[in-house]
Amino acid sequence: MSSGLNFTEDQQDYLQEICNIGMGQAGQSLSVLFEQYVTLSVPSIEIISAINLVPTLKRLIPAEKISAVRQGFYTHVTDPNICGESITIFSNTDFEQLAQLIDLDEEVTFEVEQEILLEISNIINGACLSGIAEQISERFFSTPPSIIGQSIIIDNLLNKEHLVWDHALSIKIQYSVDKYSFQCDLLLLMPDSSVKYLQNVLNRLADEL
Amino acid sequence: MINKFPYPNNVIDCVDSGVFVIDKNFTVHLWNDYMTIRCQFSSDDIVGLNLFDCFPELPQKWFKRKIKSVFLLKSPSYSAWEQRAYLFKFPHGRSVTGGVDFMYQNCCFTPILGQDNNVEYACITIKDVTDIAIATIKLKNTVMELERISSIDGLTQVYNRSHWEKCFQNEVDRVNRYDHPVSLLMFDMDFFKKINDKYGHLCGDEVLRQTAKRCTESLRSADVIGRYGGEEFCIFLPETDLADAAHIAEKLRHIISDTPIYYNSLVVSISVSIGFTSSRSTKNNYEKLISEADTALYAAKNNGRAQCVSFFDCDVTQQRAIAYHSNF
Repeated sequence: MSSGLNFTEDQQDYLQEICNIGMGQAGQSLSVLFEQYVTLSVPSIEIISAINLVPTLKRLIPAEKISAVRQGFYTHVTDPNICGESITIFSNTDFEQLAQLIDLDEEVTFEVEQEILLEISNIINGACLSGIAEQISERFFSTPPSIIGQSIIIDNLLNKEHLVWDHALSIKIQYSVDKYSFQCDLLLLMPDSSVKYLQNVLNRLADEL
Repeated sequence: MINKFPYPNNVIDCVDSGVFVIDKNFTVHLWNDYMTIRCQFSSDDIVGLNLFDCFPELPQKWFKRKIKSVFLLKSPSYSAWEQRAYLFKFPHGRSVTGGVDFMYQNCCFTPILGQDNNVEYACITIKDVTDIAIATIKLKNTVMELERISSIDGLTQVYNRSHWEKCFQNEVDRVNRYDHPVSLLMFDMDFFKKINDKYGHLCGDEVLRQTAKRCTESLRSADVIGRYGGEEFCIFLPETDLADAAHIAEKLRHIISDTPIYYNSLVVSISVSIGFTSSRSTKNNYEKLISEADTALYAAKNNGRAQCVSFFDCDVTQQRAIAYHSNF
């Protein structure tokens, strides 16, 4: 839990519920898209303050090498209810397996690896965000995804980046496809104002029931 | 009160990007002027036709997957020049200065929702990013070259001291983590000052260049050599214990010394003194290993040069005495 912006138990429960629904939809979409049965684990969520991001990430993601993709999201550019940046982190990625997942028959070059990362993170991110958007009656726009790094260590993930966000909503997703099992972590980085807005929405949802 | 703008449909032809719309069977429904002037199909030609029939060179499988995800997930999909340089083989405006074959493109695939909130069409936009791509590629190459230059010793083309030390430090970290051995060799040209004095500095430079070349040619690919100081070189040997290091050190000494160096019409005989050491099973410190190899090197010098000495063969008093006289 971050300092100052504590989530109540109710808020946490609703957030978890929203993420569950979002991930459920993501799993369905991925199954149809990949024409293989994709199972997504129940996401485990955590709110972390941006200052402690790297040590927390090290705890959450024990992998030695990671690959990461970033993507911006916002409800409105100049006056957003919610805006932020999502980072999808892939641990110990086996690209040959991922290539099979999206039925790629090309040779897996460095560029193809990047394309796979971008494609899968865009799908997971899109599915997750549209799930959340639907639950809170908002519409999210997003920027194209871009690679932060490929096979880098966690320390190098954000040290060169200027972190303008106060908080991160960390959603750990485990997904498996037939005999393959993949793991990635989705981080939604947001400023204070967005987290507060999200909390208000969560309160409203809690009151409605 | 201003009238409603009467020509909204023409706006699409004013956009400085390729814009076209297809349905889920890849039938084209809209094609803007930007597309028209870059290929042989006008809007009238292509609307109603299958996109792949008109552009058989498109990556069909890839394209279909993109469109499928747009229809399914109701969210946009993207393609960037870094991973896929272009979708359409369009010419670009830098045929002279570009040095690239086709227009670099960033593409966006966006769903268009119908009345029932289902995706009816996909809109595809093509952005020309050739200028950005060329500049980025140039920058990337420059950065790579700068990284290379900053890690290399200009004279001998082996790693410079700071970069070599960084590599060695990483290796020692790895050794401590996985309990694999690493050995370290340090060698120094014997009487190098005399070579400089007698034959000139240009000849001395050539001796250093040739020595580094002889080393790199005989070392294994995993071994890492650096120029530590003026005429002092250091080499670490991953996965190598003390006995193997002794063997390699002696082999290297012969490779460097057995053949004289030819410079213009001069024949310069050279020899080297080598000190070496090896990692222990735990808690190795890279600076300590360097100082051990250094100590062994000075012992080799003290014993009459042109030889290899292991740190473990130096006795303690010798080590101290050497440390005391270590300013040659």
